[in-house]
Amino acid sequence: MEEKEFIQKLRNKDRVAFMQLVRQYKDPLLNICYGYLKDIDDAEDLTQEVFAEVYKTISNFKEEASLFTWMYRIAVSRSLDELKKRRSLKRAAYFEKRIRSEAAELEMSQKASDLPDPEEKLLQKQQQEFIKFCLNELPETQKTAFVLSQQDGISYKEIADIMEKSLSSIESLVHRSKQNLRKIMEGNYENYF
Amino acid sequence: MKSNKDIQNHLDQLMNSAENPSQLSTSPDFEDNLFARFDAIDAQTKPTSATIFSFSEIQKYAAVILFLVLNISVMLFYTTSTDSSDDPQDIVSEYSDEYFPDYATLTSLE
Repeated sequence: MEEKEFIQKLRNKDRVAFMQLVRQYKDPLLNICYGYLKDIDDAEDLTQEVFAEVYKTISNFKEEASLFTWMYRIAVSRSLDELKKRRSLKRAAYFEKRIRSEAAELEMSQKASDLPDPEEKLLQKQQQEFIKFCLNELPETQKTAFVLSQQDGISYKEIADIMEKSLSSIESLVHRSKQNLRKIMEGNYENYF
Repeated sequence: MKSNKDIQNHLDQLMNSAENPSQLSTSPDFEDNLFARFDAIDAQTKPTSATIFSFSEIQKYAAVILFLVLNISVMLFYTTSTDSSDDPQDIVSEYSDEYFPDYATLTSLE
């Protein structure tokens, strides 16, 4: 089916077309949101938000970019907004919540004998938190270039379209983001481990 | 305490995890929840309009004729039922006496 025809069906709120769209893009969008938030439940909620926005605003879609690019832009901007919102929350409240949830998780893990070693699980969670913290320290454009470059099936050309930048600048952004991430990890390692 | 080599190895491992995240999938009820959400959006944005009545050609002609008949009968009723016994001249003289007394009456009050 031609993309134009498909978009017209979406504009007419055709549920079959939306079902097709959701099935095709739900996992890639989830992985992008997860790349920023590093929390599966939050990423899934945000993916729902992205599709809801697509459903509401598809009539305003001007077709200057492809449908795929437009949806990925929504996912990126929603994820960045969510991170900003979180940053504005009081850090103390955030850490208190984190400690409580980790303690509860450890307790649950100890009760379930068939689960992997709770200490190992906690270490994995700690590592994920560390990666999330370091990623959040990257400048916004580097972070977006890095997160998108980690997704399966997205080429640098497509990242350039999503970010509205040239291909060479994306290559350079991804390279710098990796270098910076390593530096940030080195600088904060002692605080976490 | 970890040696520098151990730290570097761990950092390599962390970088590898960051660069190669495991690909996730949505939960089984993702689509159901999403389509319920679409229903809620539709319910919110559904335009509210009054019921539109449509008439057939015959009904339209009948409505116009009924309208004309009613108007003509109302006009006829008022023109035929007007009391013609009230002579306009009598009415004028009655009120002119009350509001415009003659000069003699006015001067007699002094």
